[in-house]
Amino acid sequence: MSTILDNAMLGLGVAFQPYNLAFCFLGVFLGTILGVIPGIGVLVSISLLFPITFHVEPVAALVLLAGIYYGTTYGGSTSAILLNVPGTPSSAVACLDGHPMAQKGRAATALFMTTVASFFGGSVGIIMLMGFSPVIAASAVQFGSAEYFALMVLGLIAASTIASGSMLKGIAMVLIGILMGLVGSDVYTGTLRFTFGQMALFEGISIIALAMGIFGVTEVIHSVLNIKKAGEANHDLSFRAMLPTRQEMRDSWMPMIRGSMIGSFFGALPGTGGLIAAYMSYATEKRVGKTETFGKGAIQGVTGPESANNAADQTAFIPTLTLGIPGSPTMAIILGVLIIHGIEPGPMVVVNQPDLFWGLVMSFWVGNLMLLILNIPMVGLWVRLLRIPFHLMYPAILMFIVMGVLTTYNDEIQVWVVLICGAFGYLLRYLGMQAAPLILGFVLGPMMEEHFRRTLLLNGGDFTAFAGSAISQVCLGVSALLLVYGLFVTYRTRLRTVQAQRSVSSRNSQV
Amino acid sequence: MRSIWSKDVATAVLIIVLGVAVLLYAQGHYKFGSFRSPGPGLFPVLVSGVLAVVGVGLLIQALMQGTAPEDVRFAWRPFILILGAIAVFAVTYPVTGVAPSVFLMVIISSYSDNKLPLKNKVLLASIVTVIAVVLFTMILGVRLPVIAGVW
Repeated sequence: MSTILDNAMLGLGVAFQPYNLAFCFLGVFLGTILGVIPGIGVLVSISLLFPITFHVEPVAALVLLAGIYYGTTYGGSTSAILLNVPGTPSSAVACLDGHPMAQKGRAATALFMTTVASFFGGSVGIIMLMGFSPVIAASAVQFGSAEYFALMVLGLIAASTIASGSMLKGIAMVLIGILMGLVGSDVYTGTLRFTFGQMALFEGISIIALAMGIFGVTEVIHSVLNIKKAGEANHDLSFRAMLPTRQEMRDSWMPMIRGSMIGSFFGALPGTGGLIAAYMSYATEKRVGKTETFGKGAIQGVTGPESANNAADQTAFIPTLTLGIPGSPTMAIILGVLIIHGIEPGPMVVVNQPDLFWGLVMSFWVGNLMLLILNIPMVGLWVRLLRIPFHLMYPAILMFIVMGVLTTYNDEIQVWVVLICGAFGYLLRYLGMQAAPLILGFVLGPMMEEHFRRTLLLNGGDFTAFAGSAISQVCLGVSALLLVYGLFVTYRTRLRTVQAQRSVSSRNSQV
Repeated sequence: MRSIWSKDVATAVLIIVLGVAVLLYAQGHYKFGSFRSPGPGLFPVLVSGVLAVVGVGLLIQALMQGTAPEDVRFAWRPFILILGAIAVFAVTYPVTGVAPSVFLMVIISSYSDNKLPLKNKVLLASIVTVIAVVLFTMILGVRLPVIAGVW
């Protein structure tokens, strides 16, 4: 216990350095803005700001990107409540009861309570992160290549089974991502692979150009014609209007506690995350709550899910920082920052660089406190942001993408890489394929290959070595179960679609 | 009779082609080695092989599922104009420097939805160009030619 306190103090020292404090503020501030604006999700936000992290210290870089990450979750619920358009995907649940509350003239209270719930959930998440990370890191130090390979397989399969609609599509995207990650020179032999003589590819496809193209450019192309017109009403957002009634307070406590627990659990699992946690919490409250008002502005339907997705945001860092295995594409990008700064992700980060790890974790406290302040007195400012039409914003977003890549590499070749990734990303989107598993595969690909080859090398080509320890066996076993589950779900939905098509066609033939 | 060519079928075929192409390329160009001492070709061959198999699975699934309603239309206009604007930037930047190429890029991209009259497009492009120059060359201090040969 005392070591946790020592570490926390160490981390606070790092987090309170003015330099890091400034980047923390910048991160949560930008995160809130980008979260409020529909059409710019967390991935686009992080990709846009990624190049800045090149110019700063690794701790500040992580603090900044993490701040953007959980900041967007706070901001995302604002547009969900006021416009019924989730600013980020994970705040989709906030629309269900948050928007009806706004329609009943309780917008200010809804915004206030989501912020309180977000802060509560975030705090529980950080406590979990502080408690579990050192334990997991300590046991992970003994993991060998076979264990890591198994963990990565589990992470990738979980991400493609649970998160995306079709398991096979998700797996295909992960595999394409792995192959893209292999571009460049091979670690063992220096052989240049899949570079086709292009100098720009010798060091691999840049994760910045890839993320900017596949998320940023794709999102702009998609949103130009699809963004919903903001139908706004004037809400009384004074502080007096924000205060919840005594009954609302009483109704919110238990949902917040349950939501934080659900969120902490799903956040740490690979493949799940804020959105799933929020839905789980909503479903739980609906079952537990004794009111008939769900969907019509029940406060429980706002506070539960909001604490769940914020708790999930924080615990998502557990596998990323302790094992070096990201559970979501956002975490994959955060991991990319570590790699770019020459830090090998894994348990050694927690052990050998406590200032970095604990500095980052404690900055979450600082950031969440800042968000509390940013979101309660300043909410009126964000609401005004919602009035900026998208057609004024997307050319500026494009400029940030292109200039960001250009200034990072000082080479316009990388702008072409962004262009190609953007075209590819839009094609994927058109075909109904999700780009998120691709980025996970891309980041994990080179590491997987290394562990794969090392395991074979050390064991004389014996494949049973991959299941040599209990941890590997559990990971591979769970992966296999997930595959079976995924196939079962696909089969069931296929039956449903066939039945639906039959009933539609029979109805059509009757007409 | 419905056509068997749905979007899902096309996707599956593309994935199979991609998997097989990468497999053949990797096998032809990189040393496979053996399982005892894996070469640079081993992992790519395995991964692309699995990709092709997954593609076959997707094809079976797509053929059994029948045509799903095609909900997403391909947004040709923004697709061409946005990517075109980026390409114009990449071509003009080495010749003209940052300011003219950002200006051109914004003008071209704003034709994607064409919601602004030309006068406002020019105004928007000017503002975005100023932001780009001030933020990247002045605040972040990156050394880039603002206007080639002049600044």
